[in-house]
Amino acid sequence: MDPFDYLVSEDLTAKDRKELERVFLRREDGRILFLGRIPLASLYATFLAGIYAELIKIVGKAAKGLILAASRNGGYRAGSAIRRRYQKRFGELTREKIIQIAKNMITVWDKCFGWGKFEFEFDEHNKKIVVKVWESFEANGYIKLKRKKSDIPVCWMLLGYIWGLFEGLFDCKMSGEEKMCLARGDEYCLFEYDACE
Amino acid sequence: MASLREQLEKILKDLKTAGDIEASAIVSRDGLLIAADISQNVNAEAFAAMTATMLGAAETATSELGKGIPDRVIVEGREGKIIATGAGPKALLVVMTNPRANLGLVLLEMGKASEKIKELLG
Repeated sequence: MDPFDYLVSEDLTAKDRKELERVFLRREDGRILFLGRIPLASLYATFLAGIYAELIKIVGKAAKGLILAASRNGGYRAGSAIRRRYQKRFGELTREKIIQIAKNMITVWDKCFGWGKFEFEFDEHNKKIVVKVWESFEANGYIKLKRKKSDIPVCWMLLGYIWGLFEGLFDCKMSGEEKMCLARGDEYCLFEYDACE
Repeated sequence: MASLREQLEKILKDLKTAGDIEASAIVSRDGLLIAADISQNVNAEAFAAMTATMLGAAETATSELGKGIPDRVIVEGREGKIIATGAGPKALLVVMTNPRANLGLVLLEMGKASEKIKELLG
């Protein structure tokens, strides 16, 4: 089965890691491909935290805005590409289907990418999307590098990428915030987004 | 009673009436957009991040050189000017002007607006 069709057609949340890796990741000499064509690479989590630290030295607090804006744009490109490809192949992309695709994406990040252990909630009544992440790689990278707690949430890439992904899938602007962060001493990281109508 | 956002947007709207100002934004020190009066075809979030970065980098440079904290950053181009200035400890005020803008007048109006923003945001 085509990996994209698998991503958008089935509920992947209960699938085991081996099956997801078999479908979504293709390992070749010198590279790993996601969905058959997107190159992936594993990096030390401390490496990313180190880049943030160096950027802060140069531009101060504005580093957060830069990382967030870049990640949000990256997420948006991914979300809108999925939306367009889905619409071309299957027609209308419903709200329920968007939520299912987002849950599937998050399951893949959780089980194949090592970005953290994710939990996803969509509060239809309050139009809120809540994503909880245990063992966020960004927070863990910060803790490992700095060996101390942060005063502020540090998962800028995850916050921005998930934010942009939803905006791309829903094709609308949303607001978002990291409300809790492992690096700050919380049990897990919590991202909250106001979903559009 | 107007909400905080509405009050901030009114400050930006009033600023525009001073003339020469084409767009403006209130941005948090960490580069997030708080309020904007900006054209739809500009990515306001990216603009916010870029302008906070400009001021942040200028602060680092002047501090490293022992010249204290800059009051503002002014970027002049053929098509216009971008001016970023602090508006209290939490925010920045950024404006884009046309190339013929009266800089003295714009800075004066920005100073007044920054004080109002500082009162509102702390």
